[in-house]
Amino acid sequence: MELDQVGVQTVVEDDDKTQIPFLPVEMLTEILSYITSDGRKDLLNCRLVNKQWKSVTDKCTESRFVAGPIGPFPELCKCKIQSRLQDVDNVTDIIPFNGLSVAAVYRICKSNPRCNEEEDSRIISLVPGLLRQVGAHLTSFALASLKFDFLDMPALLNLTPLLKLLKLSNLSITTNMTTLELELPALPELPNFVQLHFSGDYAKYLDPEGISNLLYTWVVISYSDQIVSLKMETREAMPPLSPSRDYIMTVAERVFIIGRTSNIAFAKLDDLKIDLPSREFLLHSITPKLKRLTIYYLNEKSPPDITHVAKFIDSNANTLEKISLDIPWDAMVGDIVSLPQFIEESMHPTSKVILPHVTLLNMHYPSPKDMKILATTILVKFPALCTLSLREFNDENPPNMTVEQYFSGVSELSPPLWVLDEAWLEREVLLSSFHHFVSSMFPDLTMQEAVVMKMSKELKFWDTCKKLQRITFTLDAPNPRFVIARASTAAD
Amino acid sequence: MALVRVISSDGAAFLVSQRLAKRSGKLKTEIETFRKSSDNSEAQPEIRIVTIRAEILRLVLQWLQQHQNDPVLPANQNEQDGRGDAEMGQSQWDRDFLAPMDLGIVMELILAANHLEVKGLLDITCKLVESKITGRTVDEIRTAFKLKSDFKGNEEEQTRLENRWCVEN
Repeated sequence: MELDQVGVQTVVEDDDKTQIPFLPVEMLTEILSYITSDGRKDLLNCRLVNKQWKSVTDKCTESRFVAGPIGPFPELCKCKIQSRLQDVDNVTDIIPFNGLSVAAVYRICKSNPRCNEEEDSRIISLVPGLLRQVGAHLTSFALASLKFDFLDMPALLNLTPLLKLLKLSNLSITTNMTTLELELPALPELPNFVQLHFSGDYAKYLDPEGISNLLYTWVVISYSDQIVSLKMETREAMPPLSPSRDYIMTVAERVFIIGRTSNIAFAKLDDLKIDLPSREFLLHSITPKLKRLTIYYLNEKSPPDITHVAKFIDSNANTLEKISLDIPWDAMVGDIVSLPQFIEESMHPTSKVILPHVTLLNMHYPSPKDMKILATTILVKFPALCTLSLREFNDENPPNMTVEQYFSGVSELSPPLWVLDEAWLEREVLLSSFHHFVSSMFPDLTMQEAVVMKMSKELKFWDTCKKLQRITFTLDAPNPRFVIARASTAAD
Repeated sequence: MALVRVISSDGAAFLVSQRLAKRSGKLKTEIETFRKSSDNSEAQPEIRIVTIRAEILRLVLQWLQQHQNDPVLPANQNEQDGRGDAEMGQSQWDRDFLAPMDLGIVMELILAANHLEVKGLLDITCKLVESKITGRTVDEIRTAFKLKSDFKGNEEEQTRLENRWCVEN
């Protein structure tokens, strides 16, 4: 007899015989490992049972389903998706995907920002499939001109664990408001994530509620301690501190609280490009490693209060190397003149901060009356400046006068400069843009040359900034450029 | 015949042939440990299993007895292969064996099979539990396992949203 039972004691009856014993994590893992690859849906259901099941499922599915197996194109490491399958340009790789020969998984392009809704949803439905297949390999991901559900962000990031660069542009963010009123879920850890780029020119009319800014803010604060390069070309301010909506306040407050209280909030930030930064963002963000700063303020109807921009620059004086200010001069001057730190004989001389490492300064070309301010009070702040780049001549009040009259009126100041080429001139006349003054004043190339010569002699910039090597003038987007180098004699 | 006394958590003792007991990785180790530490090679080993109650231990021993002539599945065999063998090895006897058990008993059996390192039993019981998950809705799973959702706020809704990214529409 193989099995013999000797004196079994009475087994204590369990009151609730049907009670399921607590399953240790490893046993649940074991059970879930029996679900085959057909059972993706079952595993996803397991995530919904309770917190323990969700965490166990996520651990044991990581390598099996969610991140996907090695996909059909494991070499793909950069991905850009926009709406519109046609209009594809610059296609470098044709990749068969979901039955479509989509040049476009790599770069699904579009031209029309107001995309067809049906097409839109077709393309956005490609995204999860794509990320399931290749998300595990992606280091760079761009999404543009699509409808995007606010709360899809954690899922997207979950599928791209190696992500370094995320670029989101012109997204039309949709959301379920009832869920937004609750606390936002945490975004996954992305140890390699360093570069974040948002843009959206038409955010305002598509997104009156400012949901896209909320999304951007959410991502920024989630990764603020590791981001090296942050570009926020949203043409809108970050959410204000006292918004009408509670949910915006939650996130915005967190941004500023982080900026105020945490030394590591933007500890690695090297390159910041921001549109219409809010006062709170600039005043409360600590950026100990910031080297490049670009601030965009154009196209605002009312001149912005740039006091806080100046303060922000001053507070980063010891690290900044390159500064680019896309701020109209009337706004600049209006505020700079009233700013103590920009005026030599000010009531607060101690606030005159020097920026010892800045080698490149890029700003708007000042109108003649503002030229002295640039030469004598702004440039003194930049002793190490090598390149001064001036662009987008500002002619708010184009004077109707000749070259001689123009110069006679501002003779004690440095003369203005404008440089054109004929192609640019032709286009400019047609467009009759705000460069009209330049083109109508000096249509003659010879005259332009004379102006340049005159300026290169008289300009006081060379004396103010001893290390200045060249001044670049850039007039418009296709960039007719003109460069004046320091004359060898002036270099002494 | 060399026997071993296996005692359950609630004190029930089972006399089992060592040959049978050694089909459990855990019991095999225990018997060998006992041999090394005992001077008397004829002494009968006694092993207490403090985590398994008699009802469950009896079921494990029953299953071992039925399968005593099966080839022993190596414990370190990878899961993929293990699953295949379990499928193949699931006999009518196994199905009858498991049929009357409620899920709670099966779960206890899983824990016991895992503790005693009985790979074949672990396979069939896990497979049975797995069948209670596949093809079921979330609520059915919760009911079957007597679990309650402990998600707070919108956590469940958020998880659903994430799931949308993981299945074909």
